[in-house]
Amino acid sequence: MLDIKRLERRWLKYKIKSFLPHFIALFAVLSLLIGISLWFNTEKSADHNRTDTEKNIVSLTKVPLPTPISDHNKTVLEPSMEFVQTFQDQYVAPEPESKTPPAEVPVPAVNKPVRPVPVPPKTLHMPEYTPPPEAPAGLKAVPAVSRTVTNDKSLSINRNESKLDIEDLQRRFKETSNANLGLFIARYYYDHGDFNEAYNYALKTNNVNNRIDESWILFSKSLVKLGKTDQAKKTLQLYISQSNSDAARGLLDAIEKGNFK
Amino acid sequence: MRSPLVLLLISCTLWADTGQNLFDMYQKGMYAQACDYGYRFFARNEHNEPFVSLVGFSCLKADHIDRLSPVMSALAQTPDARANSAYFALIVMQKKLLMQGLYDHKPIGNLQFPTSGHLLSRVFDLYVKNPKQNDPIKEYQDPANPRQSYKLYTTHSGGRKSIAIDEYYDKILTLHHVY
Repeated sequence: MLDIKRLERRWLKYKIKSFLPHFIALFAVLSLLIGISLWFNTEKSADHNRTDTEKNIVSLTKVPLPTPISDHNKTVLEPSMEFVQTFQDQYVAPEPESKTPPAEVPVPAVNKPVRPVPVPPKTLHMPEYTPPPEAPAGLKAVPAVSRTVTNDKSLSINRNESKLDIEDLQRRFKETSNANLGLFIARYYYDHGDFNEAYNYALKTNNVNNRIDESWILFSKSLVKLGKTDQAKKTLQLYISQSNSDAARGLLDAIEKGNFK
Repeated sequence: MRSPLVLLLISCTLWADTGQNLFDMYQKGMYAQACDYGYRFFARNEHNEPFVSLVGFSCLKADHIDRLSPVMSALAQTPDARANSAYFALIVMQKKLLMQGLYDHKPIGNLQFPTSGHLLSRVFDLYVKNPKQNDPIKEYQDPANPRQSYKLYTTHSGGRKSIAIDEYYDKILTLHHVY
């Protein structure tokens, strides 16, 4: 009786043995081809580098001193904030308000009750201002860095001194009555939507120095924002009659045409 | 069979919460807290580039420039991430060069660098143009806004050598940064 399985194994061995020289030859040819192509590539890149280096050496020898920095050919790197959208899509439930990019400073509540605004002046000597109330919690300048965050002390950082301390600025203004400081604070409040405080500080600044255009303009703009458009117009007319300020005239025109609301 | 699924679910929830918390802190302007928080969960989210970018911007806004090093290394996969990585790398490099210039009087006037809108880059550009080597406190006026000026000087913070930049508007100190 024939042992078929044994015969089949023998046949397989025979076949493998018969094909083996062909495989070896093919493998050797392929290896040779790959080796040759790799060798050519390295030669080419070496040549390229050599010529580049030569060029660089030539250019370096031609330029005796480093060229001065020119602002015109400077590359400006800008951050990309597209990831915020990805982030919102990933984590945050879609809310119409939260679609905006992250705010620099928390926006204060603009719709808080506004204190009554004093009647505008008949002359440029401004009436006494009302003392500003405590800044609303949302408006207090957030210290750029806080001292401690978590219980994990190894993670806390002490190098944390950057700040915009508006309260400190207010204290300094109270002590020094510096008109520029008052104007800065008024501008800060105006930019942050607290027109009541902006009004107060513009008024204080005008009391200290009534010849600062920007302060009068901020004062009038705050009045418009507080809904006292007529008073703003009167104030501007009075100021224009005394100073002939183009900026004030421009603002008055804008208010009258309804371009500034 | 069920326990790995539960673990996976819990870890996914934690991961989502971490991102949400970080985003909330950033939106509230709590940059230092966001930086600390993101840094704590950094290893877990190292491959999540939006997360890493947000950690980077939080640390940047909190003036923790040194913490940007791992952040910029982890950003590489998308054009968005690469742009932010280059931006962070530039700021880190400019800070390091400013420190060398201020402490060791290393001349860096011949360097040609990209720039950015960040305060450090603006001050770096002004310093490169005019290092004012003899002045311990270097004062520069912003060419784009004459009312804006800066003071650059060395300082120590937490026992470490640092640099400080003060921002002035009409000669009024408005912001104090320690890097």
